[in-house]
Amino acid sequence: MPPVVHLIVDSRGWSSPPDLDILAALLEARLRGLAPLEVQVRSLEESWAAQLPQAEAIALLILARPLAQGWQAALQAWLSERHLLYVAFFDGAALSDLSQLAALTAQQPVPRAPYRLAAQTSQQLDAAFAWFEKLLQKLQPTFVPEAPLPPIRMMTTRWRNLPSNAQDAFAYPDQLTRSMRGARGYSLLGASTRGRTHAHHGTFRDDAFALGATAHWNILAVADGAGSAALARVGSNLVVESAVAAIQERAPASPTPEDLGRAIWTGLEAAYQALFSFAGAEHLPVSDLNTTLQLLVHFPLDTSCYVGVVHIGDGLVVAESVDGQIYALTEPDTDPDDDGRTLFLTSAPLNQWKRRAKVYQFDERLDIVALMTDGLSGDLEVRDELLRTNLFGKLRERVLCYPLHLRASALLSLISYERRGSFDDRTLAVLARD
Amino acid sequence: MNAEQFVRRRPVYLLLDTSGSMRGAPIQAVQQGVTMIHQELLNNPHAIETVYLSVITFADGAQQVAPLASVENFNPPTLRAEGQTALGAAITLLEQVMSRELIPNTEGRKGDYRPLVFLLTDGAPTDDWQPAVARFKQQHGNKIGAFVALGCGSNVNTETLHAITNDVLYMKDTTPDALKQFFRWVSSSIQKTSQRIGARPEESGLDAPPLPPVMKWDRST
Repeated sequence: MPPVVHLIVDSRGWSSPPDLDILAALLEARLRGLAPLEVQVRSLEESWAAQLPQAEAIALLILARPLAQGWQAALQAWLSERHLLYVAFFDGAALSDLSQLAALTAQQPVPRAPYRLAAQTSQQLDAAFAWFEKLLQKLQPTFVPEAPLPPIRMMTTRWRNLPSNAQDAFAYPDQLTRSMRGARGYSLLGASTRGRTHAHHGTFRDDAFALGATAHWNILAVADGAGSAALARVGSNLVVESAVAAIQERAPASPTPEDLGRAIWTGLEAAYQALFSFAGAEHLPVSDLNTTLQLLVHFPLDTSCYVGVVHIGDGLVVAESVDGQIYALTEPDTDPDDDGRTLFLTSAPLNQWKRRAKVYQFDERLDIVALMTDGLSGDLEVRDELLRTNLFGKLRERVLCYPLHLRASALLSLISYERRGSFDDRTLAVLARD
Repeated sequence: MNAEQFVRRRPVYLLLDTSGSMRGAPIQAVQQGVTMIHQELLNNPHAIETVYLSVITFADGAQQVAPLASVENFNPPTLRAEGQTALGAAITLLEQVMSRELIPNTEGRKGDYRPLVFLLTDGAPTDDWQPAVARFKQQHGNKIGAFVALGCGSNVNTETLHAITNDVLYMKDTTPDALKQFFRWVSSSIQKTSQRIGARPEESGLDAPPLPPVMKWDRST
């Protein structure tokens, strides 16, 4: 181990107080060409001599004023082959101190008389450091290390996992799972988990999902609250719950395919309304609730089905039919060049989203429908053959093979993978044929 | 769900003026600044996983002294100040390096995040910089996350910098303290940007904390 260089600066008597970090940085830069030397800096205190380190060290003392009495014995005891001291001084230093320091250090290897600093300028200091560098070069053979230390690798262990504040007025759990029987031989399940960014800072999961069913319909909603919005988690939960509840409530007893479009509109209106009512009641700007929304109503028949869907913001809504055909049901709002951009439910008037709602008719039954936030879709390569194996295949192998009451926790473990560069909340809602 | 391990990187290029006029305390402060950025990023788990750093220096010519590397694999280069201010060569090299190193978006797969570029210079260019800037803008102009130029000292030509980017900072002198603050700001800008990858922001570009007090937005033009 090379010795540590201790820079001890007398902070008294400067025209403006010296910035010790900058002095240390200057010195470190000076010494860079030598063996790797650590520089530690501190201000001169009355008991400086008693505080000199026990480990191998070279001290550079910068004096500006007379020293307080009583340092000689401690310094003499400290000085040795492993403990060297050099001195630079401004004109305010006491001559008697300097001559005693010079005498005490005269026997050490590479002895040097104290270096006079003519003025308090960075040029002068740098010149003193250059002087110090030269004498260290002479000392260097005594502390060349054998080999550089291996660099310190820091991996994901540095991530913290802090719980969110359960006492918060708007607390939501860091993880959530749900499953339920749906209409006509389908089941619904969902899982949502907090991303590493939120875990690291102990903040809340901003994703949300809701599931619902009527005698004829299966209803799924997924939302991703904007990271920049103060109450994003409230926004995302409000929109999925109000949309699913409103659709369930107003579902006709014997629906026609046309009713699906109306149902999506009902859900959109309820979600939109929920955000504005909450913001109004709490006196918040509605942008504090910014959230995306994916809303899907599935109307299965014996050999065919209808799907009503709307998607505002990023994420992904995809389906696989019984025949293995893959459908991208929506077009997410993402800038292909930069996923820094997306849209929120309140980014545009309600009518614009109503126009975006779609109703599809399928001549076959759908086997799996998946709605997910961008925390998951950002990790998936959205290409048919990869979705088949990486999404639908894994859902069958690792989730849908279990009985219903175990599926939601299996889904949670499926989405709880670790991946470099993937920090976001993840939410997946699934509709599956039994 | 996680079979394909492709990692999207946030590339950061530091373009540093190492001309003779930077000799002494300024180049040492820059050296310290690069080291400090590296240390701080090593302490930020978001940055460790996403940020990739590269250093290009320019004096008589331009050189990529540190190729684009993850924060863990980045070695802060040793900087020496001597020679002219070949800013044009630096921009040309940046253009080539970005074409070579950056992974573009392809069908179904997202490439790297938009790169951040920080340029620091204390003098007027001594080479033919205009064609280089024009070519750079044509090649990469719309794919840059942020391009911030810091001009420091009385010899700097802010008009040149404004021709390169709209984000120009100007510092009256090259004191170690002022440079240190600049690098602090760069470091926190990078960290903020790397963290936002997870938080999914609604706008692109650089989201940095307020500028340190010594810095002024240049209003000379």
